[in-house]
Amino acid sequence: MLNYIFSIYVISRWKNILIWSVSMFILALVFAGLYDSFKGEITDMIGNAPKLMEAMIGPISEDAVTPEIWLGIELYGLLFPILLAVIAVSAGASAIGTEEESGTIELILASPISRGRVVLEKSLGIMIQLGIVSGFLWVGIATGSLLFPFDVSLTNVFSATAMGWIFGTTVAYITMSIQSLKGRKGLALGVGSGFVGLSYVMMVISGLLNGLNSLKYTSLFNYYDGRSVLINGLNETSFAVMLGLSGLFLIVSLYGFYNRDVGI
Amino acid sequence: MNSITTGIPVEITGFSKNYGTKIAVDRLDLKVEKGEVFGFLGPNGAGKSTTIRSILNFLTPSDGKISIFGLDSVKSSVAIKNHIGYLAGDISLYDSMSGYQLFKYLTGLGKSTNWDYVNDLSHRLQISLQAKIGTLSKGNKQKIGLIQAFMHQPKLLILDEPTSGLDPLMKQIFYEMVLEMKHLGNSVFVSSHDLNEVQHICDKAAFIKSGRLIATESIREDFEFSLRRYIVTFPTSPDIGEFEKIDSVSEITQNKNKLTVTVKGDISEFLRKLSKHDPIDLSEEETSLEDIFMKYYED
Repeated sequence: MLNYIFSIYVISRWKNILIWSVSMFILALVFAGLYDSFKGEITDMIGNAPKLMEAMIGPISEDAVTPEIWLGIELYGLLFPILLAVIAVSAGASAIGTEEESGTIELILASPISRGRVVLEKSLGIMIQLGIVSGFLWVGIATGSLLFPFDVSLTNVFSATAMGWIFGTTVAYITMSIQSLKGRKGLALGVGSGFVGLSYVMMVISGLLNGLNSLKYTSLFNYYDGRSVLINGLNETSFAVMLGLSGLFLIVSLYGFYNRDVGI
Repeated sequence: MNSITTGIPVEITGFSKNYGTKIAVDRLDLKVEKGEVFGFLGPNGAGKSTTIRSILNFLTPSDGKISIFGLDSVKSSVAIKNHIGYLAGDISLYDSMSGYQLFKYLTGLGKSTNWDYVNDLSHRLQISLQAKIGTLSKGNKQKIGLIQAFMHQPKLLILDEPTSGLDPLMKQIFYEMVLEMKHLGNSVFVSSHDLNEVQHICDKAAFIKSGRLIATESIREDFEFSLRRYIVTFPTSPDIGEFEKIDSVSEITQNKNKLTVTVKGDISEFLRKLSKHDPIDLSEEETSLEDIFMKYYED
């Protein structure tokens, strides 16, 4: 089990995974702990929220602030997907890219395994990496619900976390597909980051201008929508869209890595 | 499986590789026979690494065909690699792993490692398999690279600058390892800048220049090549112009009544001309691989 490409990938990134996981856990604990003190202020804030803020973090309910709404505004609205996107872009660009840059990819490709298996195992490694980091956010919230007056639906929190995980996976696979097609880690980092930025801008614009509302369908943030999931539960359609996109870009990665020169 | 035991280890036919408009290798033909140690020589940028990487299917040929044990290097890449050991010229290893962990990992990727042989090689090469690779010197990293190439006793070894960073004692052990492979009937394809090394271990050497194969020489035990150097003493100072006209004569130097002449290939015309001048002494000087190399690459 420890001698597969995906497990070596995860082990090689253990420091990175540990730091992000601990950070997510602490972040979750902090927000769980702050809820009781700030729920009054957040109610006032919602009442005075400008349209730009709504566009940035999604529609804001004027109902009483619940732990789910609190988490949706403060953590799952923007912070969690952006942090995951940062991890995902880096993972997608470097999963194969770092091995190509260092030359260790030749050790792997000189072994009797197909290039397809290399891509699939690296992809699995990325999913595991994002799963561990996302999972620690859920564990942090679950722990917070035990330690603080924070009565939250852990099922919905799990669903929102799963949406974040598949969102991150999609971003990572888009980034990896660029690296696999062109063999350039820097280019993949740039395109992956640009995609996340553009996707976010599309979501904001679609929320600000009624006429451009349909633009939201071009934004990955629209399908993620962790805030709604926290309140309404898992959105299977949006999950399926991101899963489909992940599969599509995984195929692009397979095609790209299979059909180009490596180690020039 | 039958193909692996009976097919020609390496057969390259009309192989070309282009990078855009740049031709890295141009219509290369060569063959490595079973049990043969084959040297692949050329200056930097001649196309050696491109050829090696194409054999391993890291690069796809632009034209021509590469067969390994009779199987297409692109279509049957995975099956072929069961029987190939590869050492890259500028080998990169995982610094965070120990040698032992690296070999375990590569075994997990499908190599049929002979662990007794790994232990034997680590003992002979005097390298600890427990130390993290990142803490090792260049020479010791090279030893780890060599062991990973040899550890499954492959039918075909492809080695790019295999003794880079090794001390003379370790080089000698490497030569023994290569000869052991040869005696097992396995083939070795080795690219090297060390001409003494090629002369020492290879049965045959191919010379590549600007992407084109310019010669393939057999390296026999007595180190005779088709390139010969003669020192001829005449009664009086001869006219070297007559010798310069001979196609097979590539180099002439004169010192009073003594001529040093380098002849490539057929020597009959040179001897006919020589006999007309009644030479008083004729001796043949041993030519080394370096002489051949310099002849091919002097311009």
